[in-house]
Amino acid sequence: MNLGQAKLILIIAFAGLNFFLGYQLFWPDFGRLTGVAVTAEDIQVVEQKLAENNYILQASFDRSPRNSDFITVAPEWQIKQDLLYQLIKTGVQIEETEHSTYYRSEDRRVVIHTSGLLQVFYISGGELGEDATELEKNDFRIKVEEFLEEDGLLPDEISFDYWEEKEDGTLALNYHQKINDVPVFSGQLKVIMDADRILAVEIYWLEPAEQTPPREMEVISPTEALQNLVSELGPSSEEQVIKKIELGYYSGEYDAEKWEIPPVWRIAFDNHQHYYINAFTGNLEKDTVIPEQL
Amino acid sequence: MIEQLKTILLFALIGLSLFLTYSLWYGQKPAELIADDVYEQVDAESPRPLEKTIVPEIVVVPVDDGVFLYQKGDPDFDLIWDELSRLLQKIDNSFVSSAQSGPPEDATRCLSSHFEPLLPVGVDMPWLTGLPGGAVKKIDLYCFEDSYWLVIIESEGAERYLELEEDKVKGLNSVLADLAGDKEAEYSYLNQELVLEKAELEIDIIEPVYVPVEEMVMPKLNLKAEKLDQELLLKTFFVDYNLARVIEERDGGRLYTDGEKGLRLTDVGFEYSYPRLEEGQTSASYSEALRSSNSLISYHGGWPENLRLEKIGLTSRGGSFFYESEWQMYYNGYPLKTVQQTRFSFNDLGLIHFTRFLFEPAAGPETTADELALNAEKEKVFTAPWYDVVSRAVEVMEERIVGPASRLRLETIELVYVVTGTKAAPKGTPAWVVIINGEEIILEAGDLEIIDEEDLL
Repeated sequence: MNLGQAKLILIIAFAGLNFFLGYQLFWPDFGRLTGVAVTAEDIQVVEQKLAENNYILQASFDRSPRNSDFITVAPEWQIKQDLLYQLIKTGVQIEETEHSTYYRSEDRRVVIHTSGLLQVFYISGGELGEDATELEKNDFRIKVEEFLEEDGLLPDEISFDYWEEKEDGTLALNYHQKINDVPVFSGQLKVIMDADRILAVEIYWLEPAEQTPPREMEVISPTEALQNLVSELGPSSEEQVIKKIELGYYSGEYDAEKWEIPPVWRIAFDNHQHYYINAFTGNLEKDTVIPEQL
Repeated sequence: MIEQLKTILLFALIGLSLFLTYSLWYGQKPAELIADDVYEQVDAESPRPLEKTIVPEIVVVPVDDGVFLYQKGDPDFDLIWDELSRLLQKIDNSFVSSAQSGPPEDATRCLSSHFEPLLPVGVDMPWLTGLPGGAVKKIDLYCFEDSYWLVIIESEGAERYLELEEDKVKGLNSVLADLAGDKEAEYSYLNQELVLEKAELEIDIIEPVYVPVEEMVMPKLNLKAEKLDQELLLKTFFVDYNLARVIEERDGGRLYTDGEKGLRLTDVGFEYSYPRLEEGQTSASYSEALRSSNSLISYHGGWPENLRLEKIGLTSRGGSFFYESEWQMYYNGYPLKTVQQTRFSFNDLGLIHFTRFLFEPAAGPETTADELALNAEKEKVFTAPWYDVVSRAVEVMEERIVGPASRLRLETIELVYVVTGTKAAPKGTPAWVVIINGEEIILEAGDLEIIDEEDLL
């Protein structure tokens, strides 16, 4: 045996050894090496489970493994302060209750809740212009956003979410907040309209607060989130279509100083119903458990 | 050239194999990048034995015309209970028989102990193992010359008699004799005639009620809220508290929730809820519930020296059954009454709700009454006589009654410390608590001014 042959044998032996070691080390999480947290098999399984329960999956989703952390937020007050400054300049009547303050000016009524929710009601409607009704949806939306910006009611880092036609004939434009380019579904802006006039605007906006020590963890896969949702909801009496699954942040509203919000998988149905699955625990996000005083 | 490539490849494979071996040997950092302390061993307080969980509500020792009263939190009470408990543990099957006759008519009652919560007895219990099981609500010790009898009254009212050998009662007798000389305050057994004579009032009494014969002296107390280890508490309530989010409330409280359960920590205690468990059922017996209750109080915050189990019972809500357990802090024989109770409920699934608000003397629980009194010589309160208290309480009741007045029924009259002041500087104010027809009236111990429950912490 010459040196070349010996090297070849050693190469084959070490390649085999490395394969064995790699298998032992990575096999349970092999998907992570290939950058996939959701396999084709996972999708098949979840689609089947959804179908058995009368849900149709028509959404695509990110299949890569993802890590996330809690974010700490506090209610945003700048928009309200600017609005109040405007109102006070023009003259306003003020009335206070335990959880809300009411401001009434000539053309609008404003309610600020202690939780941070701001409601603006336009007494004779906010005019968008005569040609507004003839505009395409997107142009109409731009017109609305211009109106809000002029009125100081268009926050930064806003993302359009969906249109909603109400039973009473009104139309609602729904936006959600983004922080560092990640959706924060708790932060919402809703514009309620009637043909060419804005009737009311509701804003619940948050701002990032001082971050607690990092607790970055891997999030569950979207297929696991879907499985958990179906287990929680049970079979549907009529067919329901899942249109979108995306990762963001969500929690209920708190009348608090600041709080942490967990990452969630938001699962959107075609009827605009949204469910939020905690991406760390896999639990369906419901109302916060406020301890009972016995 | 090929040989050189082979050499490079071989070295690369050798290097990779070393790296993989190292990774495999020392373990790969898991994908859940953090959580160093997840599933960490929780080093909480160990539960106490059953003998320390169940103690009598009061021990009454008759003397001359009155009685000496020993209550929880009084060091003398602990001495008596230790001896009585030891005596009850010594009694085995051969001694207990319902067929045995009771004490002779001339025998005098030397001691009575009332149990609320009830004393569990029978096999597997520390006390009266000869009894078939169940629970006891009262134990009387009768003495006649050199003979002694125990009269055991079970929860359903059945009585059992037991003649005791003198040796067995020796320890208890010696403690009672030692204490008799030290005891200053004598109490009277309250009945309708006595109320009529002293307070000139016609009122029914739900027995037994004891009142001090003479005025008592109680120092006002400086208190402090119990100091809890918040990190340890989080570990006891959440398996992985990294998954719990924090909500900082405007009043300074911090709420932790993982979406299923919530824990609110404040400066003076905590509240916890796990609503999903309300759907569970309960199969635990009374004695098992006592043990669980014992474990839960120790595990979630610990068991301070003078904290006592006050009530435990099976309750139902919405078709589900659960045990509810209530705890009370005592100081020198008097309860420290707060508006926010320390209590919890649990079933087979686990702990459903828990609220814990405890205050203790600021100088430390080991400080004696004399030491505290020295520190606060001017803060002593001389209590009003009981008949003035009853008259005042009846007056308050008559002001409160709307509609036709029903006959008054006195259920409780006792001296307590009510916890007032602020959370930062809580005070223990001596007070009388009187319950008439289910209505609770709190009066300052000396001048009998009304204390609103809203003023309590």
